[in-house]
Amino acid sequence: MTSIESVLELCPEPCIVLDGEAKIVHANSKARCYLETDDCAGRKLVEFLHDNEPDVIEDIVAKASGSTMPRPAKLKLGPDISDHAVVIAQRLLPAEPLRIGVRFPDLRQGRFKALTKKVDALNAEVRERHRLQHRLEISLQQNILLMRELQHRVKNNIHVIISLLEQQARRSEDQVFHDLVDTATRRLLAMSRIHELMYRRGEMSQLDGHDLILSLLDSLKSATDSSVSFVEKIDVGWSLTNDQAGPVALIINELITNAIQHATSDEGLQIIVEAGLEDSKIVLSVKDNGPGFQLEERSSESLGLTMVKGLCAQLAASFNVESVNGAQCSVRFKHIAELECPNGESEYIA
Amino acid sequence: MESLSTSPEKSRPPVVSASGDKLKVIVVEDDFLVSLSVSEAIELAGMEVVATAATAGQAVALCETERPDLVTIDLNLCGDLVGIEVAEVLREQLDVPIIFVTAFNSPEIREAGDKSSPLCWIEKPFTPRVMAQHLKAAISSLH
Repeated sequence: MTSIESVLELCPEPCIVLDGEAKIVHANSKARCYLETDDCAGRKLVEFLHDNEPDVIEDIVAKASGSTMPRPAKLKLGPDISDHAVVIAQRLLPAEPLRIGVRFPDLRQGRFKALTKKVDALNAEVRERHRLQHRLEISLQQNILLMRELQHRVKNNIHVIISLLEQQARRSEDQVFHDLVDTATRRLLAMSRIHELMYRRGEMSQLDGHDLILSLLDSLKSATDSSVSFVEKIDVGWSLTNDQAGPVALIINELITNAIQHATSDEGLQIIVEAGLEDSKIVLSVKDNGPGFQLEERSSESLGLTMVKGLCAQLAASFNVESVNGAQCSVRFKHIAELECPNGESEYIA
Repeated sequence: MESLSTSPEKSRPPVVSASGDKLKVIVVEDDFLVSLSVSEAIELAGMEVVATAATAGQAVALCETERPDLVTIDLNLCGDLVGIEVAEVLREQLDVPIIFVTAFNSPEIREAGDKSSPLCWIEKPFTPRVMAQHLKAAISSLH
């Protein structure tokens, strides 16, 4: 290897030495690699750069030969616009014979072409993700507004249904009809409470059992004659799934309504509501100090108790009625923690 | 069950103003059926509905002419939350006590509405009897 070849090898980019006719005299290994040949000496550079007119390279040689100052020039190294490259041409010393050094600094960057391509792809992906995130944020905001409007509509419509029932009842002197409307109104209010709780907490999949029962009892108490006293024993730390919450609210509502409608006591009606976890099961209990009743006898004439039985079946819950010093109705079903199959078998114990 | 509102009321002791007249109430509500139940609750509470307004403009105009003792306002009038603005105008210009009736119940809405210092918030759905209880409690806080 000559000294000039050794110097050329030190260059980080492809370098070629041309003679006055634009023929290759030397080429470093990077240039040979780029030109895809080990045998380029004595051949015209234009043979390897097919997209350029021969006089383009000769013109570069002619201009560079007048000075030892580096001169930039543009060459086409391929068919695409991205293949245009700037080369640096420079007359080398000594003056004779004429030698023009040509460096290809753009091709040095080409070493990172794959990496650059990858970075460009990643940047494009980031930009696309930003656009997607923006669209998702707008969509989320629209859904929040839609959800709020939906909740409002549901509650308003429940109110309108209650209002319609009341308007009809007001035109009737029939106490039975009034009682039916009252019962329907209680059911609607119970359903509204569940709806309200789910919306307010923003938790659509499960609800806190303690909060749910207390909220429901507040609603029931405000709609109940003040001569009825309530005692609440509601444990904390248990939850209901969305699917359980609706039936549970209606069951509590029906059992309390049943007690108010049928149980009487000289000492004043007292209703004890208990709810909590027992042996990993949720246990709900509504107890009164009335005369008690037999489930099978009453459920044949009571829509409320028929509903309770049906809803217990839906919850895969056991429903137990005992008549000792009043009636005690108990419902027992799986807690969310051990819930595996929501559609199990239900059993009634009367 | 006699506890709910549908049974005919036997007696409704009037809630009176200092002059001895029944308290005059204007209902601001754009839903006719809801306005019926609100009016029923007001009468059940022993007060008198002197007018019903369905828009913000009607509400302000009626309050200027009728000079009510109390106004119940639905937050959502004609699909917009203008009830809060109506309340602010009524409180500033006429200093009339306000009760909000709403199916919306978020902390943000409460915070916005509380600037008008309402006597209370009544949340839909409700029975006239329950609303009447709220009305009586709210009015008693004024005296």
